[in-house]
Amino acid sequence: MSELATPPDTARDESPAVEQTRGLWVDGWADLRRRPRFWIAAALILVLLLMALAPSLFTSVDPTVGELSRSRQPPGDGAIFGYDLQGRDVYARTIYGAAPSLAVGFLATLGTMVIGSLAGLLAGYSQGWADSLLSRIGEVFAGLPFVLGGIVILTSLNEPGEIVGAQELVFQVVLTIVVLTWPVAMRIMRAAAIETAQQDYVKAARALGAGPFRIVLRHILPNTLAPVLVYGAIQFGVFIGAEATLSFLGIGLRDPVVSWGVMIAEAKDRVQDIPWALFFPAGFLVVTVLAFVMMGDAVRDALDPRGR
Amino acid sequence: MAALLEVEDLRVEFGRGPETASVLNGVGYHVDEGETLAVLGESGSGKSVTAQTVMGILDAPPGRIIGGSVRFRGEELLGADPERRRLLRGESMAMIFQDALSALNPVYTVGFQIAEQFRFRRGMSRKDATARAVEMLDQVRIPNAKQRVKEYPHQFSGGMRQRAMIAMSLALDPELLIADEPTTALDVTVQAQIMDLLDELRRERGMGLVLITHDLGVVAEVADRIAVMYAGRIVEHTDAETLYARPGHPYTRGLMDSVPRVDDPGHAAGAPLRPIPGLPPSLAAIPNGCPFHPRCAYAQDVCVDDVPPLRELGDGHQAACHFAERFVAEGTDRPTTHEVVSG
Amino acid sequence: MSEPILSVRDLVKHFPITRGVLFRRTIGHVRAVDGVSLDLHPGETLGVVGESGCGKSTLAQVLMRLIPPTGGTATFEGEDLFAKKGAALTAWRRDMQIVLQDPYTSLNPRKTVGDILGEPFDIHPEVAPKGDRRRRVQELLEVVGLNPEHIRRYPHQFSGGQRQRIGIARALALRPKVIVCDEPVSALDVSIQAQVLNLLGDLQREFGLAYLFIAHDLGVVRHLCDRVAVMYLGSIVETGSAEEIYRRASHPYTQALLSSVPVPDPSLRGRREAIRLTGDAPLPSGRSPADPPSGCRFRTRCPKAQPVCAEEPPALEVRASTDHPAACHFAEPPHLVRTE
Repeated sequence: MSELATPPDTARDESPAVEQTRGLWVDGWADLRRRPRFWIAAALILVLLLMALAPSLFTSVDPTVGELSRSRQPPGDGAIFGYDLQGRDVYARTIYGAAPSLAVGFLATLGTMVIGSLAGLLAGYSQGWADSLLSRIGEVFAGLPFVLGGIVILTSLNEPGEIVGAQELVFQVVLTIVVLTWPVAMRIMRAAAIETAQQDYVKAARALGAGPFRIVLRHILPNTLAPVLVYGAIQFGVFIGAEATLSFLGIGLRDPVVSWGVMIAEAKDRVQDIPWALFFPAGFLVVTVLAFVMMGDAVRDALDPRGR
Repeated sequence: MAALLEVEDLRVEFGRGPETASVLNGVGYHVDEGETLAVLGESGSGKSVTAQTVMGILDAPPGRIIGGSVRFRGEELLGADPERRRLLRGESMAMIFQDALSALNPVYTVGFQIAEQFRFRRGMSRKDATARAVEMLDQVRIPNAKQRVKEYPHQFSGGMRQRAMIAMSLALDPELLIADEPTTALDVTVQAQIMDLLDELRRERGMGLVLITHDLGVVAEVADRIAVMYAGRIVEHTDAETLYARPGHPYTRGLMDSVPRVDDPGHAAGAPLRPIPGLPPSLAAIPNGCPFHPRCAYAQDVCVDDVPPLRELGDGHQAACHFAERFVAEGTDRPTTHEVVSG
Repeated sequence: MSEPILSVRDLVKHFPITRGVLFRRTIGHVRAVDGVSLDLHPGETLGVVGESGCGKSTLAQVLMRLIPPTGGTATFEGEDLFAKKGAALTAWRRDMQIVLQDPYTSLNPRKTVGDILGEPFDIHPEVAPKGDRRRRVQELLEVVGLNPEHIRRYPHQFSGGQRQRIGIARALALRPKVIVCDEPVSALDVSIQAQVLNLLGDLQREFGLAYLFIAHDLGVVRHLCDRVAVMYLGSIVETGSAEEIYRRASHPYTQALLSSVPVPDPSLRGRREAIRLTGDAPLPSGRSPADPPSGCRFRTRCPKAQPVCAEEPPALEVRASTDHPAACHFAEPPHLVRTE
């Protein structure tokens, strides 16, 4: 395609209005607003957030109250998503399950990306002993199998049989996920930072006398954000799933906390029997993941001037 | 007798809709046995796309051949059976590229990659094929070929890699070799070696050579005939002597005035070059009339309105300019005496 | 002649070759720059020519204080360049700037042209008051022949030649006295290359700049440079005025280099004597990483090599038969041949 690389010379044929200098973020936002993908994702995320913050707006049913007489009733009158094994309303549980699930997904993603990116930037930019050290530490953590690591961390945090509050449990699950997955984000960031640091524009900035902070913030970070953003958007869903895995093992969120992970873990064994108890939380999970992937995609494209 | 390769009125587009780029707009040239045709042009002129279309390796999509004809020894290739074309590649026509490192597979030895051709297309045994690979490396003047045949591409220097690629492309004895910027990535002392080698091999084998390049110096040293391309068209076509002495197209002339010469005292001492103003046009919006008119110092009204066809000016000199005769008559104003460095 | 503005003596830059993951061991050195001395005078252009791997770009980076030297000294306006630190170093950067080769990687793709050209003033706020920046940026665009209204555009909206103009504008922003041009036109098409060369010439006259012009294209160097230094494997092998180098090259490497450059004139075909070197230049680290060829580094490819060349490295000096310094025991001018 190099044959097509010559852009048109539109140098002199434009309206004389003088262009204002704006930054990457302002231009990026202007671009984002024009993308339908962004608005669809934003609307979905807004609804999900509303569900998480004010579940009573969506349902007046208590998600933890089960009536065994309604056990395994399929979707229909009274409960549009049906009832689970213990006769609890699947719709209400799905609504109430949003908050812990989103909290785990969001906080774990944020934690992984922030810690991973900072470590990656430091490792990739310094490339000295800090790089060797961080890379080796990262390898140790990344080498731990997730389930094994999760068991070790969570059981060492709680005595067996100890009753832990919902918030504390969410925090513990997030901590576990972040501790076990930040090296992946670091590796992505480190590779991008090493590549970017070798670009000539970094050389030119150093020749102008730019200090390390300016170089990292103005030159390296904006050019390395894209791969980490995409990774984060995909990991968001993976982390909600990881929460489900931990729940399934009985070391993550558990009754009476309602989360999609808990619901999926419970329903997994009775798929043929009560498919709706699995289908609805899983469906919400998929839509949530999709919304965040779309959002991540839209943001990445908007921050790339070449795509405009 | 039909020419070895004849390209006629070739038209290729890239993309669709309003962004459609007209990459080739009626390109035609021919090459005879044992002859070197240089295709000279800057990036975006369509010189590589023409070659890829001839070889049948154009990426489609996004590329789209919308017309024209490519004949090898009289046989039409456009629309021919893909199997037939595959057979012709390597056996009858071969191509070498600018970036020899990416054209060689890093996980196989150089010898294996050359021998592969003999094994799969000539059905030779591994041992015979390797012996032939050594012969090929010898032919491209790689010293110590017996040892080098066992080495991997990364163990070769830039010039050696280009030699290995030439050996590979010539393994099946093609009658036509297309060299796409074969020396652009190389240092000047190595470039000289490779150009000498290509010229020798062409003479030894009576092979037709299409040399695609942007370098006016390289062209002047080896080409029999030269086709100058601009914006997907051939704007001038003639023998080497005529092109440099009496260019008929202002673009050709502009190119010559743009090159700072290592031997030309007239240009030294800070006398400004006379570059062509502006930029080549976007291929999605080629100007009306002569595509060169927005950059041409001599443009008249007629140049804005009418596309000048590639016209015969006598003695096989063709140019696509309404005022070609005038430029030919003027000639170039370079001095005819040169001082030449010799060892 | 005036006092040199930049004076370099015996500059050495070795890159360690390391092995090992956690504990890196040094197993040898690449001698990228190995004892280079040169002087650059105000307002002149010194060309540094050589093939890839000769160390010319490393030289540029060491002189720009982008990488530390291994040895040697350099003074800028009489002050020790390598001793500068902190505020003094930052202040010095206003006086010496660089234009890089690749117009596609030398501009941050996520910043507008306004930001790219504004950055020098962000780093050196004393040069232009905040309210004045935009005018300065637009002035810069105008000086390099671009439309000053385009400050909000991104690099990808410009062609290669236009991007290189932006790179030149950035180097020019702080009104330096010296600009190091590291292959500034080698990535450009012929017709665009000539435009940029003319621009560099115009700017030099307008602002009284001195250029350290690093290139592999001997034609370009002859066109632009007053003096020329030829590098081979980390060392200067010959230096002199453009006239001396191009007319009376006395080092066999320079002679081979000149004879290898194709001349765009078919009437000279077969009349220029071709000196063809065999093979490629060895890596600066040589076959076994630690040693390049003993004695004269060029001897492995030299048509004139004698036993003495393997033993004694030739000094860069004027010899009886020559009028300018060359690092060859057998330096001699070529015989001039006049052709019709």
